[in-house]
Amino acid sequence: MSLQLGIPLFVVAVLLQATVLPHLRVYGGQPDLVVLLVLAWSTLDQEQEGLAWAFVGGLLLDLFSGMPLGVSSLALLPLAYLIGLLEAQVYRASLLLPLLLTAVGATAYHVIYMLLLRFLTDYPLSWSASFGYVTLPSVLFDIVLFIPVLRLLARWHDRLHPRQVKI
Amino acid sequence: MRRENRWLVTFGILLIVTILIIAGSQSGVLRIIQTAIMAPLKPAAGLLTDGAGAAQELTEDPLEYADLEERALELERLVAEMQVEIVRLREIEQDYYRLSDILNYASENTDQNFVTADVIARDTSSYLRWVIINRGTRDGVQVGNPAISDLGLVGRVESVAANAAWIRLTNDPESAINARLQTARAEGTVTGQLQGGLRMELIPQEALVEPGDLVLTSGLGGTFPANIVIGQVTSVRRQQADLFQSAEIRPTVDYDNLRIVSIITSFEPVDLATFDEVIESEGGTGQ
Repeated sequence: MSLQLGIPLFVVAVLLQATVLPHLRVYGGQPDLVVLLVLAWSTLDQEQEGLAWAFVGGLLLDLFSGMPLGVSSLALLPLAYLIGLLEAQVYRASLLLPLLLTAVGATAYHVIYMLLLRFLTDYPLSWSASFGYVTLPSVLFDIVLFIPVLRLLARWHDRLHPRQVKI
Repeated sequence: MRRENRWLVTFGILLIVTILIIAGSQSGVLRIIQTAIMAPLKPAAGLLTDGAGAAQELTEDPLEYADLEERALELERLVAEMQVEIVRLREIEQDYYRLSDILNYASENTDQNFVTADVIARDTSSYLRWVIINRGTRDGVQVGNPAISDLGLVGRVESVAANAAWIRLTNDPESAINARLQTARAEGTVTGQLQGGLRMELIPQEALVEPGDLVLTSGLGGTFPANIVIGQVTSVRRQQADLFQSAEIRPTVDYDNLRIVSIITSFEPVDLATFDEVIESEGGTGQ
């Protein structure tokens, strides 16, 4: 994803996450647009762009947060790294695998974020309440939204990086 | 270099840079950069927040929605520009009522100085209950300033940039406010709950707490002015074995629909010198 297209996309996602999406909350959970974008791009891209966007997206998220800059990046980077190690064709092969990936990836993001909140800032989080009230609804939102986001980005990705075919 | 190795190197570099950024952010060094990046995003965030808030008000209040539908039928004859104008004027009207309520509070508390601000965004993390406003150090806002709305206490300014400030809402799990019960005359601490409510803890066992009792700031500690409404007691939890009782509080402020807040930039804190005098006089009699 080029910077000219990626930065506006992530800025819009962060603005929506800070303004519109809080009004859609179910219990304490809301869709994690930036996490979805990072997961989707890491899934599609064979280069290291997923890592770069995890870093940039996390920083943009933290601009609109009370937490120190970089906390979200730190939670997103391991996900982008692990997903990027696998082959993109694996995800394109079926629908079930991307959904499983979202469930695991989004849950991992929330768990890492909660750990960072607890240990970096001493935030008084109740694990069980946080998981039931925030993490679970958020992950469910993410599972529902991942396929549309992945399809949109896949079109974009295929335009930017046309698949090469041996003749 | 193999692909996996390149990935690992990039991952390592980005991880180190991120840790350095977190350290820089915690020490406040990066605040200028944060301010500079946020400045162009503020107007867009403000517009989106207003739009989302207005849309939510329409869907939440069936009476208002029916009223608007009726009006829309009447306005079919009018041009589209007029419809936009009416919606805009309705927004201004609501802002006017909110501001006039805040002004009433301001005129009753002449020892306090206020800065009125728009809420432009909410915390992107679902675990935190913070909002971002469009006023900062340039407008006299400082860390620690209390934030109120026409309905009561909103929270406290925790971080300030030149043109924006981050407010920790009263219902944030890390928020703790010295409070008192209006009727029971007992004091305690109001803490935020992840589920959005409030809980008053450390209420003495002998206090007669009943549902409906108003909870106000006590002013002790000097962080908030006294007598700002926080909420109302909905239920009480009292066990003989405990040292203190606790109460669930329904906040008067609707934190999900905050649009305008007032920041108290200066106020007269509760005079604790009285207690010093008592201690001194007790010490004096003991000698």
